[in-house]
Amino acid sequence: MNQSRRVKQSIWQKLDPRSKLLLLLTIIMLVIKTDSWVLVLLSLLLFLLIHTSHLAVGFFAKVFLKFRWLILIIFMVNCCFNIALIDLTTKIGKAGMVAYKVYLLLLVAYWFNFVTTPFELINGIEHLLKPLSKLKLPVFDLTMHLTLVVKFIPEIIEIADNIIMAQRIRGVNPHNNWRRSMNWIKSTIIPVFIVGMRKTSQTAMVLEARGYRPGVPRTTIKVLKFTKMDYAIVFASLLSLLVILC
Amino acid sequence: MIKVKSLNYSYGNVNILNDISFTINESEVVGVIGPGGSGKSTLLRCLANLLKPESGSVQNEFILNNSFCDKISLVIQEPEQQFFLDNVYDEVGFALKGLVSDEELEKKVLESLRFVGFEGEINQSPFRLSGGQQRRVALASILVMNPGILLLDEPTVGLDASGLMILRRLAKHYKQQGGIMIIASYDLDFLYSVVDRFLLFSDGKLIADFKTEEFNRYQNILMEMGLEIPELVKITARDIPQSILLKIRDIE
Repeated sequence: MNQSRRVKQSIWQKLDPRSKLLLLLTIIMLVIKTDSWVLVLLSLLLFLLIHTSHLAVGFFAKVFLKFRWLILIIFMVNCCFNIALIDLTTKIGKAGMVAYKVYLLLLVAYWFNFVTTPFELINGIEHLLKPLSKLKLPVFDLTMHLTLVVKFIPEIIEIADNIIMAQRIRGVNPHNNWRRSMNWIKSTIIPVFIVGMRKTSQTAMVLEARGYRPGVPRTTIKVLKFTKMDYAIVFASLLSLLVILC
Repeated sequence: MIKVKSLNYSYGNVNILNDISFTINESEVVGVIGPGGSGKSTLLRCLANLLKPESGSVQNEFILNNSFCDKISLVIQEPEQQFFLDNVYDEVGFALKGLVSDEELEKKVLESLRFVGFEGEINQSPFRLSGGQQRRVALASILVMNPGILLLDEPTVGLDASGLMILRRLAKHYKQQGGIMIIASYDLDFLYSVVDRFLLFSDGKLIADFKTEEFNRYQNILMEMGLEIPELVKITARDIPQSILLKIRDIE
């Protein structure tokens, strides 16, 4: 999945995850808070971000097609339940704006996911939350939990795939009727849960064997370092946040 | 008979199987070998109709006899990840439940468990068994269907000597009764003693298709790929007269 990410690195992939997180937060705030021409400017900015990240132009269509039903439902719900507006044209215009904003949020989320690996992201979160550890908040434990969640997602998908495969080999066709489908869901989720729990306890043992002690700060292999570009992005993000919040 | 013609399969942009063609006849036990990531498991999943190939075809022609049914079945690499019921009996009998009478089901389940050498309690959860026992139960849950074509993905992992004996017996049974057995494994020591023919894969391509008697000719290629040459082949290569494979002297 991440092969293309490794082949051709853009400037965004080389950035520090902390500055990327701040940029993401700023864009989300801007999308939610602004309307009209600022939104047009934001759309252009997003286009630029995506274009400079070596993502194909088809990316815009891909995200739209993947979430077309969600966007359509949001549009319909806003059309039908916005009782404050009587004029139909205004209603449709407002609903369209909300749906477009959701599309922009999805685009920025996908872009962020493309330019940041899950472990970079967790590393960034850990550094950003570090000051909270002075207030005795379990920041290191929280980020360790996040790391484990990220590690387990592909494993759980693989376990589920294998169980479904084993059922198909033995003649299960869940699409015959609803009762079989319900049984099929039950007999897939429970083993995934059992195997997942087993793997979790194995991981806990391995962590302990390798010297992990809860609550004790850890060092990282990849030390995060700010470049000039990072400082520029942080400055621009903070300025934008200040402007929209005031 | 299995006839594979120009089979291609890819995950995203990565080609896993590249223009694979071969035919396997009845009473043949075939070993699929190659380094990690060469496409062995994907090939078995395509043969079992669990993955849809991008192009090419897999044709299964069953010659029906009393020994096997017209099914193609696969035992996947991870036994623990193929269980979905809460006791060994239900797990093994799952495929036949509702298709045969309760008495016949019980008979077949016990027969399969006996064949694979399972000695545990049939009412216990398969998740609580040891790795070796889980592998036996996973194998029994497939054997209960009596498939004409049996595919095994890394079956020797976690099996002790008696488990390997059972696999040898199974291979012999398939050979004698006109079934087809395909085993993907790194364990060339085991395969060499069991299979009639090898399919050698590298980077998703079938680079050699040879009989077990021709193994010596492919030794260098296998060694270059990092595969362990069977002890038996090494011994025969040492020019020791066939009649003296083991000589013990002066033991007190």
